[in-house]
Amino acid sequence: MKHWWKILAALLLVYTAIAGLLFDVPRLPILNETIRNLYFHVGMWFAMIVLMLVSMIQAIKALGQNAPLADTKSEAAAEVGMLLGILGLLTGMVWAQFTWGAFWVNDPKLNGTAVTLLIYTAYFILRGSLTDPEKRARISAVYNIFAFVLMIVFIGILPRLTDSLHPGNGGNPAFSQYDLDSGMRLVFYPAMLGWILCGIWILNLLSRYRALKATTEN
Amino acid sequence: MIWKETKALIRKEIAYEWKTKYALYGLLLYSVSTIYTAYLAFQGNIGSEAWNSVLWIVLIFASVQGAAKSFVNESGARFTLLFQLANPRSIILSKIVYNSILLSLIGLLSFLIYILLMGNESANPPMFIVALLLGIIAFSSILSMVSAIASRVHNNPAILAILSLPLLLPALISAIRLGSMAILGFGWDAGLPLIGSLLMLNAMVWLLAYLLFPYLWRE
Repeated sequence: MKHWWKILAALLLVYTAIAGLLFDVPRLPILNETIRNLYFHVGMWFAMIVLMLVSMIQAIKALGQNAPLADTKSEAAAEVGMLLGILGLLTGMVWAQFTWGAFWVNDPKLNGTAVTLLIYTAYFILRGSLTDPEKRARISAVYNIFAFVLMIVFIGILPRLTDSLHPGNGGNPAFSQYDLDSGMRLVFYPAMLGWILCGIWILNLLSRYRALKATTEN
Repeated sequence: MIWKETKALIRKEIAYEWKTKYALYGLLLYSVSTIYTAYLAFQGNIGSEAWNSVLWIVLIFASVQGAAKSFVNESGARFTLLFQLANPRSIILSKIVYNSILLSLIGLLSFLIYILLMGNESANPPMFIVALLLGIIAFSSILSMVSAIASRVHNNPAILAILSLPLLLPALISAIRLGSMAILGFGWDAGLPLIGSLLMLNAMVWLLAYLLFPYLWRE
């Protein structure tokens, strides 16, 4: 049973979809029923950060051991992270339209998302511009590590210097103040784990496919 | 050892720049033209917030231009020579220090011209200049590293700008916020957290450059 975590991922996400939409949630001003987006939007965002972290760790591996497989994994992790980031952005934008009245506002967390997407798009363009596989692995790994650290500075540290419109910041209502007696944690934590496992599952499939393709081409 | 080498390399950079002054004047003219474009576009009436933002937009693009040629000369035979002679770590340190000196100079001159044309809006000029210098030094450090990456790509002229602009934004935002504090006349104690975060950012970039550059510096 080495595939137990894949079954777990599928069960957790089915649970997230059912419990996330049907379970009772606290009635908060402004947020109302949109608070359910927490299970989807925030979960995808955390999964994205985890995958970008995996991408950076594989980049360090690719630099240290000059391993082509680590480079393939690093790229695949960035691609899956990007997919989750775009999904997290879209779910966030729909939510923002109904709570803040606009699809896009000037908020440190939104700026962080935009910067993350710009950084990794630039990473893919850098990869596309280099043809020699060894050189591509080495140079894109350096950019990956450098960019990841600066991205963490942007999304992790700078928002604390300013106020955000996000729930929980600047006096906005958030679930953490109310949920101690509610069941939100019972859905939120499994949902986070589900999204992260699902992302790693996709990464696993994608990097195996790439590695297989590389061997058949040679 | 590494300091001696770095000092010698910085001297080499300065001597080389002084020999080919047209590159320096070109960069200065670039930022003067941009400032004049902004001056004409705003028709002379500019609010204090926009005054700050426009200056930083000029500075960020001038910095990208200025750092673009950091590694252009280090190819072919010159690369082989430097590769054999010097430690890669002293090469990146010398590039960071040299770019910081060059771009701070360009930044201060641009600032003077900017004040001449657009007027001075800042109530605490020393703090504004500190914001300017710390921001530009962070730009120079990040750009030195990214231009080393970009110099390995030969078929994409936009690569330096697209790789570096998203990475420059944390420094840009901190510097702009510190700048607007200076404009509003806040004291040093209010600006201290931002000065600290800019210094931290600089230290982090230097450390990363020091650790990662040796992997870029081979063929």
